[in-house]
Amino acid sequence: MREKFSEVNNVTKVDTIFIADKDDIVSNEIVSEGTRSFINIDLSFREYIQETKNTLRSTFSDGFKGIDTIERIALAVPIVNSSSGEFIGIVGVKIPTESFFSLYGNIRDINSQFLVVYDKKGTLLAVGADKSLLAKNFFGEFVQNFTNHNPILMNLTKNLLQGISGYGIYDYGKGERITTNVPVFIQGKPSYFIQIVTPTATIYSEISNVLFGEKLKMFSLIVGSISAITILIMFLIKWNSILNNEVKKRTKELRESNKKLLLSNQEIALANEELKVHDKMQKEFINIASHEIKTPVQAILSFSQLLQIYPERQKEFTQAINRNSIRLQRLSNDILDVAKIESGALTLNKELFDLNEVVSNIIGDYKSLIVNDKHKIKLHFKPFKQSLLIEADKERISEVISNLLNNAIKFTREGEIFVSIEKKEDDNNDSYALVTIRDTGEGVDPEILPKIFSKFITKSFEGLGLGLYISKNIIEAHGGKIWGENNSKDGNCGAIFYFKLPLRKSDINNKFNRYK
Amino acid sequence: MDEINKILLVDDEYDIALAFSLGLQSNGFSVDMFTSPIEALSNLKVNYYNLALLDIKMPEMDGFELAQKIKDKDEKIKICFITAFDLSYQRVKEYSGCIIKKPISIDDLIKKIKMEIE
Repeated sequence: MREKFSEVNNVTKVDTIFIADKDDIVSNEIVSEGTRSFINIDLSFREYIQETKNTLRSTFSDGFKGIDTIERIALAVPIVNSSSGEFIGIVGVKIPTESFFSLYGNIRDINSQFLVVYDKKGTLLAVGADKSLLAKNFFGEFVQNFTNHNPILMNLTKNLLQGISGYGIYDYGKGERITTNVPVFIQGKPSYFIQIVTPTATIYSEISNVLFGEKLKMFSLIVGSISAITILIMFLIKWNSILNNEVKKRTKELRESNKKLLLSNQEIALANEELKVHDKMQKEFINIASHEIKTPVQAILSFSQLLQIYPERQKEFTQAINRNSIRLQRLSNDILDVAKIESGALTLNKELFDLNEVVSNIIGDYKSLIVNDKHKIKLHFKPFKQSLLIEADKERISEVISNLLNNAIKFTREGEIFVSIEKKEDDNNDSYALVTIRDTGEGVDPEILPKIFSKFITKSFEGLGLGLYISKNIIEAHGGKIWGENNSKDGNCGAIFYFKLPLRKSDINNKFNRYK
Repeated sequence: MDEINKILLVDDEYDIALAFSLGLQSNGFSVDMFTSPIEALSNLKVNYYNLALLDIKMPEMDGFELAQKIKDKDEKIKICFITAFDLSYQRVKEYSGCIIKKPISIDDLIKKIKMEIE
């Protein structure tokens, strides 16, 4: 901003450059030495500020006089948020008029043409005749006394202030004057008004040039005034562009800080949203957990009471009590597992075992369970042709396999489940065991598939949606990976879940016999 | 004359349905028990039951929807929800003010239902 200030001061004397915020309070300002500061001052009562705000266009003010009695005009340019169109503030400069307009003509030398500049109200912004007229209004008593209420000059000036060009010849007691009107239009509106005054004596003194000279004088007057005005307008345009650059710079900064604000707002909103979702999930979890715990408790409570009423059905009721106790146990195990995972207390009791054998045993158990069950399911198992040694927590790995099998059975009801184990190698030539569990059930709802390994994600009417979350944590704690997909190939249905576990590098198959 | 109270019982948990059903029967109620809301609707005896005892969280349709469908066919039937949820449902009031929270002893269940029927 200081750079701009000195830059524009090379063009003409400017004593203030300021930035006002949207409430018209001056927030930044640079003033030349001896000029009054307006920092933190409310400019809203200034007409040009209001006009700039209302029209959102740059505005040239009428003249105004400060307490230092210096007459000034101001040029104000609105700062507008280019995307929203919102008014943000104003950049403006204050220009002492006398030094400014003196650039465009001799306003002191009474022997030649000189300039008088008015604002829209008729206040004299620059005057060559007498310095005491400066900042006075043409129609005021002081100026009128000075001009002896000359009617021709009065008419001429009235016309000028309405934007009408023309000239007049008059004498208010100090010799005959020929005066030309030139209104200055800025953005299509007459904003400043110039009179070029020439004492006719200077013309008549060269009377020998007679009519031709007269005409030439008039011609040069007009040319002179036009060029003066052109220069004036060019300066004003230059001004505008300097201020516009300041506005652009400021707008860019604003936009950038807005963007940053927006970004951090978005981040906060996102974090809030996550918190809300988390909170909602917690509440939902407590609600579902309470439902899931109370249901088997209700069954146990009722059947133990019914045992006394129907002693002959003891076997049936104790089976029901047992069934519900197991359900309750499984539930509490899951909740405890999650607590362990979340507190980082999941410990693995690793041992060396043959994965083929463990999976085969689990499959055997499930096959006998399925026979008794209402589900009509065929369970197939294809082991790897050799034993597959892994060093892992046998119980935990069994838990994962049971979880995946339970899900497959729950969502298949009627159909087939294929379990297979393969040995594969990754890009680093490290061997791993890949376990695949494929079912022909309804598949995973595409909506929940991407988050299926998160907590509380379930489409089932039974359970807490913790099984896959626990399984994922167990497999990852072993350095493995678990994933799932829907089986949509060749018109198939159902879901496929995989997990892989790293194999012992060296002694595979050394201790174990070929799997039978 | 003591009329036998007839109860329609719907709970998707077979063990719960069976236990409540037996508990009510041992206290002189006549109970038709279903573990599927759809089956319950297709076998509904209109203007027959004194009270429908309905679970809230069920597949196919929840207890509220089932209650509405039963009420559509049988205006006079009283509805009691039975649930293991902790929430006090605003929606319960749309159908009845009666909510029984699991777990509940058979004695308390009988007391509540008798109170509701009277």
